[in-house]
Amino acid sequence: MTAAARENQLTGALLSRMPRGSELDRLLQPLPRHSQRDYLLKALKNLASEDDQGGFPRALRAAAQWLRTRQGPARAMSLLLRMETALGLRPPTLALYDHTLHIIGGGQKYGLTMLDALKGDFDITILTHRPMEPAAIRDWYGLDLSSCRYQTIEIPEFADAGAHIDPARITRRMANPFHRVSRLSGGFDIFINNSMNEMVFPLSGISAMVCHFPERRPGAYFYADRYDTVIFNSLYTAEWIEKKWKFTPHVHIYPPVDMPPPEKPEEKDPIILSVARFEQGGSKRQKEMVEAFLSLRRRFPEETRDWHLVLAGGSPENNPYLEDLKHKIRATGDTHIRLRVNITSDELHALYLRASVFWHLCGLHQTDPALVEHFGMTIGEAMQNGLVPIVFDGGGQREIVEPGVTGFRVRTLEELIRHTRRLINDTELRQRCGRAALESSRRFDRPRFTREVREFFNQRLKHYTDPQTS
Amino acid sequence: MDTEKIKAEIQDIKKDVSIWYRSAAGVADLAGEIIDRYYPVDLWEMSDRELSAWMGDQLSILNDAIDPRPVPSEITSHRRLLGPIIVRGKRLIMKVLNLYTHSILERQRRFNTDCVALQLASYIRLRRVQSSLDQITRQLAEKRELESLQREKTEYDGELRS
Repeated sequence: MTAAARENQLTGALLSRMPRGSELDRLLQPLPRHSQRDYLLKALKNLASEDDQGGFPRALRAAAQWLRTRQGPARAMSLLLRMETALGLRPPTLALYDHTLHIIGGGQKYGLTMLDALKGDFDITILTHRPMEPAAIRDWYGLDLSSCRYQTIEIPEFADAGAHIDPARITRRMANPFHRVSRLSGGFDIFINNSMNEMVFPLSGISAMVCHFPERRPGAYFYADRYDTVIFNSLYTAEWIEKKWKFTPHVHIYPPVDMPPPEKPEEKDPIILSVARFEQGGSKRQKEMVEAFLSLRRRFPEETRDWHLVLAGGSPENNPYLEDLKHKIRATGDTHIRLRVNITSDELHALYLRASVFWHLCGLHQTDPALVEHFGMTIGEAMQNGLVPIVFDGGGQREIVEPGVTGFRVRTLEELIRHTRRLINDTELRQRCGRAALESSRRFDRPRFTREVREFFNQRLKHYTDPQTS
Repeated sequence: MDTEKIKAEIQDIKKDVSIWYRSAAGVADLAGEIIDRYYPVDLWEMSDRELSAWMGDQLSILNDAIDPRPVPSEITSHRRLLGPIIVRGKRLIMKVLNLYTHSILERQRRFNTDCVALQLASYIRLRRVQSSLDQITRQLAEKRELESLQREKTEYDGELRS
C-alpha cells in the first residue's frame, strides 16, 4: 500500500461515525510504532485543515483512544501535544533535566548553553532536584535563562544526600525514584536528559540524552538506549559508549567554549593557571600540580622566581580534599600558590586574560576511563585566551591539544615540569603556541555550538510537526 | 475549522487523556511496553572501581537473601472475595510443610550465612591488599621523584661548579 493510499484510508477510518480499532489496526499494525504515530498525525493535520463537518474532534479522540490501548497513555498525550505544536497553537515545549545542576560543572554548562541557544524558539522548563535560581546560572556561566521555568522534583530517597545525588545508589531491589522525572517528561514536546543519569525513561515525543561519559554499565533501570538521540561531547566519550553500552551514539557536538579572546594575547603575566572542579576524590589532580610546581621552584629557583600557580575551580561546602589541599599549601609556606574557589565567571575571565600557561592533569595515574577527562572545556577556554595548555595525554584532551603546536601533552609530572620549564624560558615558543592555541580553539567556540544545536533541534522539530511518511 | 475551536477541542480531549496518564500505575504502563530489560554482566570488562562497587552490591543482595524459609506474609491474593480463603489455605499448607522442611531449610540458612561471611571476608581482605598496593605504588612514585630531583640537583650543581 502506498503512503498516500494509507493516509486516505486512515482519514476515512478516523472520520467514520463509529471509528473501529480493528480498522486502524489493519492500516497501522504492519508499521513500526513511530511510523504509526506519524501517519496518525498526518491524517489528523489534514482533517484539521480541510474538514468542515466537525469530524476532527471525533477523529482526534479515536486516534488518542487507539494510541492509548496500543502504545500507552503517554503516546496518546504526545499525539495531542504534537497536534498543538504542528498546528502552531503554541510554541513547542522543551524540558531539560539535570540532577547535578546545583553544582558548577562543564556538563551543566553544556546543557544550559544548549537552552540559551534554543530559548527564543521554545517554551523551556528546567527540571532539577535541588532549587535553582536564574541568578546563580548568570553568576556561574554568564547565561541569562530568566525566561525559563524552573521546577524542583523532590526525591525523598536522596533527602539526606546533600548536594551529591548519586544514581548508583539505586539497585534493582529498590523502586526507581527517578521515574518521577520519567512521568513528567511525557508532558513536553522535547525532553533532554543532560544528566549522567540513565535511569530516566523518556516519554516525550522527541527525546535526547546528552552523554558526557557513560559512567555506569547497563543494569537496573538502564534506559539510555531508549532515547531517540544520544548526543556525545567527544570522540573519547563515543568510544566508551560503544564499549560500555554496546551501541553507537548518534550526534557529535563538541561542548561550547565561551571565553572571548584577549585583545593582546602577548601581554601576559607569569602565571600558571589550572581551572577544574575540586573533586572530593582528587581526580582533577590539584595536589599533584602543587607538588610539580614546588618541585619546579625548588629545582629552578631563578627561572621561576616571578611565576605563580593559581588553582581555580568550583567546590561544594565541606570538601575534605580542598581542606587537605589548603593545609598542604599552607604547610609549604610558598606564597606563589593561590587557590580561587567558586569564583564568578567575570573573575575567572580576568584570570584567563592574565595567565600564560595552563595545566590540566585529569587522568594522571588513573586506570579508570571514567576518571579521565572526557573533553576538557576549560582547556578550550584557556586556548581561546592564548594560554599554552600542558595537559594529560589521554581522554578528550587528545582531541584538543596538538603536541608542539598548540601546547603539550604529558604522561608524568616529570614531563609536565620539563615542558613548563621550556615554556618559562622560551618567550617566543610561548607566544607562538599561544597564538596557535587561540586559532585552534575556534573549533570549539560558542557560535559553532549554537549553530549545531539549533540545526539539530530544528531538524527534529520539523519531522515532529511535519513527518515524511512516504 | 477555526483555530480557537481546534484548540478548545484538543484541550477537551486532553482532560480525558490526562486522567488516563495520571491513573497509569507505572512508567511501563504509560509507555505501553516492557521498559526494564536484563543486561548480562561481563565482569572481565569492568575496571577495578566498577568491580569493587559491583562486589559490594552483590554482597548486599546475597545478604538479603540468606534465609530461604518462606514467610507467611508473602502469601497474598488479589481476589476480593475468594482471596482471604485462598491465603488462609495456603498458609495452613505452609505450616504443615514447615514441619518437614524446617530442619533442611535451617541448614541451608546456616550454610548461606557462612558463604556470605566468607565472601565478605575475602572482599575485605582484597580491599586491604589493594590499599597496601596503592600505598606501595605511591611510595615508589615518591622515591622515583626524589631520585630524579637528586639527579637534577647533582647536574645543576655540576653546571654551577663548571
